[in-house]
Amino acid sequence: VTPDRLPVGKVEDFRLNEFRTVEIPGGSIGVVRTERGFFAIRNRCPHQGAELCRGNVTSTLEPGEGPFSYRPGMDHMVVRCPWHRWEFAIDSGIAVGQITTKKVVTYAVEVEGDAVFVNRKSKAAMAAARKHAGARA
Amino acid sequence: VTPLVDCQVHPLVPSIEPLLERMDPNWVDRFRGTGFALPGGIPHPGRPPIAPPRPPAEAPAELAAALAPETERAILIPTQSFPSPGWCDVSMNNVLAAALNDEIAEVWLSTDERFRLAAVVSAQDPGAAADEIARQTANPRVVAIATSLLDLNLGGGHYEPIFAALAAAGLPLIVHPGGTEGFAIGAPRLGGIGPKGALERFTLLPQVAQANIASVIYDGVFLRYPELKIVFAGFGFDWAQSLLWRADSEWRNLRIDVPWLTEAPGAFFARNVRLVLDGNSAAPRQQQEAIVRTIPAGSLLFGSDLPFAAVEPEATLACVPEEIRAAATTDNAYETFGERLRAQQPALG
Repeated sequence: VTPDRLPVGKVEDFRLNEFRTVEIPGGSIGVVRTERGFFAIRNRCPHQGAELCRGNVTSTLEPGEGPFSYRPGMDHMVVRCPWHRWEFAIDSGIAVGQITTKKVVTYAVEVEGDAVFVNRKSKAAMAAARKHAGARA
Repeated sequence: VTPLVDCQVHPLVPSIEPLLERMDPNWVDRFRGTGFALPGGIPHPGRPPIAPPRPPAEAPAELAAALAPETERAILIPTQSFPSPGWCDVSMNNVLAAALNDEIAEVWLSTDERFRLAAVVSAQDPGAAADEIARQTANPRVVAIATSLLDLNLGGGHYEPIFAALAAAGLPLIVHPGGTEGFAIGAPRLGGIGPKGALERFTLLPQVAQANIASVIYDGVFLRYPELKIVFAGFGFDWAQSLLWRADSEWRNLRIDVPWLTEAPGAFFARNVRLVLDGNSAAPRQQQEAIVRTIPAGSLLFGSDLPFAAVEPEATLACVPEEIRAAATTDNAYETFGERLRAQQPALG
């Protein structure tokens, strides 16, 4: 276990599509198990700071063929803020429907045996670090 | 001299007589039998009473002479059939609208080559309105179709034949108050209170524009007709920033209610909705520029509101920042009304 890896619990502790949160300095990270695997996001809506992970993972509605036509989309890959219903993709942190350019911070989840860990460095920070290391090498 | 396109000028036919000459004789009997009189225009607050020109035959020339000298084009919007949402006889409205269009096209347009026509239709009978739109398309000096509204959402299905006909003709729609909002059954209601009289009606009138702009955007009219432009004339502009802020803000919160919308409501407004600056803003003059800056620059048109104009064009346009002055005075109008407005047309007749 490195200092950046935080234990979140055992795989069987996770109910499908419901977040568990782990505290970090200045806030918390929500980790969720979906049928597509584990995902982790900052438990803070970029809109007005609500605890985003109080909302369950859900799907959304996407445009269909013109007005009053729509279809379900992003099957259980969306978190909907309980305050103002802003929606974000749990894998990328990008807002659904281009309602804002603000993104939710996302984190990498690792599963070892039945233990679940989240890396407290965001995916973006880790990618930047890898890029920096590559440039130095 | 900065050129000007005047997008809101109201030709007032002095009496019903010339219109009767353009009707089927059976309809003439009906109009005469009901003692029908043309409204002289909607009284505006703080204005002198509307006096019919003397003699009546000089009305078109009087209007042409009243245009600002820098006017390149003037779009005539006949309003005398607009109180029709309160009438029971839908067919009568259609006949009146067609007669008005023919009278303005043949008598008024020939008076001044700057004149263009926004032909009127009655929204009560959208099928007949679509037929009238198709008929009017044959006249190259018809640059738009104008109507007053009903107590039905503009984005709802009732208006669909009108939108389809407009799209086929490539004409914009001009929406103008009918004068009976809040008063007549069938005309748009005004929310919350009253109105008991003209004061409350004029105070609340922007609600009609706000509700119907929200309707056409949320109900996806511009998804079906992406090229369609809808001009709101006679409603002012000082309420628009409130609508735009709320529309975008609430959409971010409640996009799930209108998942077919692929962009923010404000983007549709900027592309498809136009507002006429007509000198009737109630906002204090020193606040008007700040308000105008909150409205998409491409949505601004100028209209004198002649013969009801209370102020000179320069006073109306004082609130338009210099960098968008050309857009508001000419460029947006030519973009909105297209080649039909741009084309030089010899006077008819």
